[in-house]
Amino acid sequence: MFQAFGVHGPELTPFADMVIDVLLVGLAFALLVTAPRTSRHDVYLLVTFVAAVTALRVLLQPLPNVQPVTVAALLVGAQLGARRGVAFAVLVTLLSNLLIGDGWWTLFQAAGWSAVAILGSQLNLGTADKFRSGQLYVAAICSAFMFDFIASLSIVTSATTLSDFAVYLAHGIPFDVLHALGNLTFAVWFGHFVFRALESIDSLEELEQSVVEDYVVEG
Amino acid sequence: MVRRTVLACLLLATLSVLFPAQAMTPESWKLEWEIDLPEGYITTHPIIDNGSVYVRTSGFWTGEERPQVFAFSTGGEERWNRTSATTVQHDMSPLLLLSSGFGPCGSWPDLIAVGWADGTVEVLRADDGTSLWNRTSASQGWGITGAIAQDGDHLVVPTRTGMMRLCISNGEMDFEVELGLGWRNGILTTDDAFWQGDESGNIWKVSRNGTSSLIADLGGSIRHAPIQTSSGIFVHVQRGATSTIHLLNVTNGSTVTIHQGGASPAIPISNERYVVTGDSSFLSIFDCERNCSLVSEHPTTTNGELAWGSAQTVWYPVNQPNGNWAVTTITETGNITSTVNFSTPHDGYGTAAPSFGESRIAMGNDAGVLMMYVQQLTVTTDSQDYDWVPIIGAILLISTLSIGAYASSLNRNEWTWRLVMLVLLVSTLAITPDLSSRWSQSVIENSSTDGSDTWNETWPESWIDTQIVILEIDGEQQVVGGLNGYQTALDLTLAAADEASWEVNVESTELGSYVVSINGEEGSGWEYFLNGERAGQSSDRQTVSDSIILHWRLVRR
Repeated sequence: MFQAFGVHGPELTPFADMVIDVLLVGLAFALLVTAPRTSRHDVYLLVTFVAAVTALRVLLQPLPNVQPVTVAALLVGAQLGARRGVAFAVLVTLLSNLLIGDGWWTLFQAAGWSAVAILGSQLNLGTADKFRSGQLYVAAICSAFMFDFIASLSIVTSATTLSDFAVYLAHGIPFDVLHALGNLTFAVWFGHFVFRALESIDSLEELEQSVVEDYVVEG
Repeated sequence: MVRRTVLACLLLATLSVLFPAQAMTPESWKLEWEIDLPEGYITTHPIIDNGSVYVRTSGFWTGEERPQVFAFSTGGEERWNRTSATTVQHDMSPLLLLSSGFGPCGSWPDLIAVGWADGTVEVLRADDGTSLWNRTSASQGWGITGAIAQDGDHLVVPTRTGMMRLCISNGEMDFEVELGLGWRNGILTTDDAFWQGDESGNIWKVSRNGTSSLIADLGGSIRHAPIQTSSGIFVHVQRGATSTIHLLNVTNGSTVTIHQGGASPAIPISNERYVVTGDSSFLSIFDCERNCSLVSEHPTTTNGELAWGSAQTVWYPVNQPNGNWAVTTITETGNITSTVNFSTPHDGYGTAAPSFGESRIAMGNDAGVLMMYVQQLTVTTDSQDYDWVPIIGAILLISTLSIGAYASSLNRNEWTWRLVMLVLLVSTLAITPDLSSRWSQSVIENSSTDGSDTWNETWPESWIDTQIVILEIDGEQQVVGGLNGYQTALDLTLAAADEASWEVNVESTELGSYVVSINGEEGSGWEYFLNGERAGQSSDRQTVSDSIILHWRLVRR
């Protein structure tokens, strides 16, 4: 629904744009550095994944509302946990919007994909050998509508009535469906592959667990 | 079984690639001969018929040269010529070939009907050029300049001051009526009447008994034969530096303006569904199964005649200093797929369309050289002219599904789902622009208006039940009203902008045209409302009623 209209909410001054970007980058790094034991290899892999998904989003931008970031955020959230998932979502949003258009909406897109990553962290997709693809497909469809709703909030101003917003959402339904279909396609094609690739990075939760266990053992 | 299906699909795809439909491409034509006609322009299309080519010139008016009508064999040998010593202006009434026939008023051999600029209509024998009969009509500065029409065993002639109907076999007059003054205006013949435009923008209806009535006054000048379409009578009106296109409802005489075009319109042509117009800015395609709505445009300058080369190619002279002819190909849905140039050794200003015979094209321009092109024997295909996208898309989708079916037969269900999803996504992407457009229209129709754009008592009463456009920037509004007949929100906006001197910048995208800025203001976007209801699709696809308040608002906070 986001691309159905040409209006993206308030126009920001360059300074306000910069403040939002700095805050988002700060949030992403804050989430990443809270990881107690992140190896250099893990950082390289995550950065590579951020760059790849950013490039894919820019590449697919001409296709209306086909968003590879959504499934990627789901999988990162599921495999690496909510905090790294949110950091991933924020970084991809910032980097890709620097190339395809930055503004007030960046905040809402980052929030939307962060929410998707948090949703992903609640999934139990099993392991690479016993991958529960059905759960991923259902989540991929639901997350399209969730993201589009959150991103659409960017057009809301004090002058927007509930009825205005409802009509706006209604206009975007074909694009929501397209987003869901795109997500499903990405999930079917690359879900298992990405899930397995991310498995080589220990999840934050696993790391925390191992740290706690170390202390317990040492104590 | 599955393997056979896959093989059949691949075979079908291969055949489609190897044997595409052949297009009439410039590359497939070769100049066979050319003749420099003495001291004259060629301003109207030649005619190729039965081994002969007929062409007329329009004199330069230097020395003693006078306009002529020539007949050549298709091999380039001159058969006869006919000079008018008395014609008074540039002759541009197209020649009319009358195949031999008979009717209640007599019989006739193969003839060429010629309208001269001194007001004379003359009928010549096609075989030797001798005059069978002639009849004079009024001349005011010039006489006959428009296209003569055949109506059974009669000719209907657009004269300088009106119209006359003459028996083909002997020139006997059936009727002559006074209408408005004409210039290059032709006649539309329908079952019950004849329709003609004039230099004052009037559309006249003349019944078969010669009774005339003024049906509509559009202002401007009508310089072509009105065109009958399933949506009404189509006219392209010349107005100073612009032009407008109108539809006339023949039942009640009402007219609507459907488009604003560029300067100096060409003579439009039509087939069963589409009308093609030209002017100094664009060649435009209108779909008359959809109220003659604009489908596609190609930027060019063409101010004279247009011609169908085949069901889906339009040939036209580009009226510029080094102008050639151009060939525009349109799809079955009216979209322009390609435009290629047909260059000749004598490119330059021109208004005459080419003429097509069996494997031949005859053409001429202001250089006054008649050129005969023949189709080369070698079969050539031109990928530029052929619309490959749908066929390649279909082949790819079918092939992908076939491979998916094959994978399924091998129990590779994972790959089957992948391929099915890919096909589904690509198909959905292909239909999304149209689907979203229809969906948005349906949302608007079913949602209630908030009534914020209601009638303002300070507006003139003459604006009641007309089209009104409000432009709002930072709370300040400018309003243009009293507009009529615009079919889309974009056309209405551009009409208002023209009236109020707003500068509108429009960007074309796959999902339609978007207004990027008005008067240089971009903000974070422009949104528009129809009778207070937020519109949900691009303004070029949003239809508007005859009584509407279109409100553009700059978003900037």
